[in-house]
Amino acid sequence: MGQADPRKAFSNAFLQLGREYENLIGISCDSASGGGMSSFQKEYPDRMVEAGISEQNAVSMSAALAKQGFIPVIVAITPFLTMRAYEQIRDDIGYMNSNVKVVGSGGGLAYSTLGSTHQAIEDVALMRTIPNMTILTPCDAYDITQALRFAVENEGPFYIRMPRQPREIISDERKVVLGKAEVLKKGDSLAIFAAGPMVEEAQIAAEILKKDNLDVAVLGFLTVHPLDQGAIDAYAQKVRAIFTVEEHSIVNGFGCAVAQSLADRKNKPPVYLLGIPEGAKNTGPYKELLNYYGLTGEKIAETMKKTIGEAKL
Amino acid sequence: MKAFDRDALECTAFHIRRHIVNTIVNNGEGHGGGALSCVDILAVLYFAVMNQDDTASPSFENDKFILSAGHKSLAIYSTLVEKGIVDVSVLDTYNKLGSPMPGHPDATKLPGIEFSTGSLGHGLPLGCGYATAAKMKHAPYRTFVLMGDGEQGEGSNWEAAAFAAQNCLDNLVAIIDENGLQINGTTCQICKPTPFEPRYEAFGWSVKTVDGHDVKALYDALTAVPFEERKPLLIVAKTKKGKGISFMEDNVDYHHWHPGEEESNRALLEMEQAGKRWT
Repeated sequence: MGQADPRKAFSNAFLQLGREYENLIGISCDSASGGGMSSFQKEYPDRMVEAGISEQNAVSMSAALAKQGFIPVIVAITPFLTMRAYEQIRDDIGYMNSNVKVVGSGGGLAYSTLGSTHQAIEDVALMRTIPNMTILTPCDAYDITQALRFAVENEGPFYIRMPRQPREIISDERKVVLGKAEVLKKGDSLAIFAAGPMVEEAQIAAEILKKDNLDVAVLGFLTVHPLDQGAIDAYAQKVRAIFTVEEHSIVNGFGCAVAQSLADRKNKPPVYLLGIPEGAKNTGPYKELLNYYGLTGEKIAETMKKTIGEAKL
Repeated sequence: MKAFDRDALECTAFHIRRHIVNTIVNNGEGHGGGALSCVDILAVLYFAVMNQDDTASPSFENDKFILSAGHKSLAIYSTLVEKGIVDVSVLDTYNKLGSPMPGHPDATKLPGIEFSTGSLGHGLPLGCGYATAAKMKHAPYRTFVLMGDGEQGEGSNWEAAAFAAQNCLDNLVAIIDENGLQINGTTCQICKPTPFEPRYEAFGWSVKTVDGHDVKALYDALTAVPFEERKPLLIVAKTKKGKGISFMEDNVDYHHWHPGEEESNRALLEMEQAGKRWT
């Protein structure tokens, strides 16, 4: 399928939805161009609110705008939005069940070279605790388009964690469903549950492990909260081990959520969490950093092989 | 907007104060000082200034009020009771398990509350959102935000102050209930936020200062909005914390009031004497 720029995909999707929904508005924190809202702003300048570098104000304003019938989509660099304005997201969006769409621009290690202040490896952990919040982690351009559409078409708070690096489009003939995991590869021996850009790396890992006669299933989770419990239970019953892979701290992210979802199940397989260790804050070129944290397809396959060998699974 | 009626407004303010005192005495504790300081402002807003009567298109037509200083909840609860929006019996549930009237207002539990507040520094940004929505929809409603003076320490207020001026939100009216006290001392002892007038003016606001217990001064200021075209408005209301109960007035110990039997009796007696004016 080739690669696609996530920001371009978001920009196209936002503009298209803007044409369909006249109450859709954009909220910028000096982030309109960086966040992929320029096309929308050009066509609908009167439907853009520029808050400036003021995330707390921008989030609270969005909640009030939503109460007056608008559908605000607020885009800003992920840590500044989800962490600085966390309390505003909790009180004014979450508890109030406001129809605001929070978009974290550059989730995970996207700003890999820019330093630990710009990386966002705790955002899913934080957003999981916001009441009423649906969390979407798109993996490619198709997912981004669908994620934004789900968010706009469905009432209530959404958090979309935007990737930044171009990723291989899996297929634009897929049909992703809100709240459902997507089985990208069937398999009976092991399963990889992947979120966001790790979906592509998980598929690479599964291909590598084929050579070792390991039949590895790959499930992509666009929706990481609430989780698709049915899919998790189904695979927990048939595989020897589940590996979760996320471009996020292993503390309280997607992997923890999967493990938590199986906590009260009997006869479950072990769940291994692959992600970024607690307190890590290395920087560098994106692919090199993924490799450093063991999050490339090759490294994931290597870890899985070693793990099942040591555990005699 | 209604014609000015000093006696009616002062009578309403008295009844609001009496609800506050009764509720705290019955419950045993509550944020008394700040609730009592903003009563006259609420009485003038709700009973003379704000349009809240449109039923056909309330979201579009009716003025909005946000109590940013959510700890003054008993003042808005009591105002809503006087307004007939909430039954007086609900005050008996204050702070009780599952009450629609907790220590800070919860918009999901009580009619008449726009947003749940309590964490300081949310009201002005929320007000900016309402005011921006009105501009975008060409709606006539105005947005009133009541803030505390200690609350001005929150940086989010200054984000909102800049936004409101930048976007010419002359439909946004902020009111600072300047009673001069916060939990641990006077505002000037803690982290001096004053003077408010030149600070907000420097951000591009139009500012007036009034006696926050003089219903005529409040009425004149609140009915003169906008003061200047294309500028957001600030009314600095000079007040006394604990206004109406002699031993609480200007006393830093009464931010959160735990009245014992003696204080309860004294406060109830002072209320009774004040009420004789209308009996």
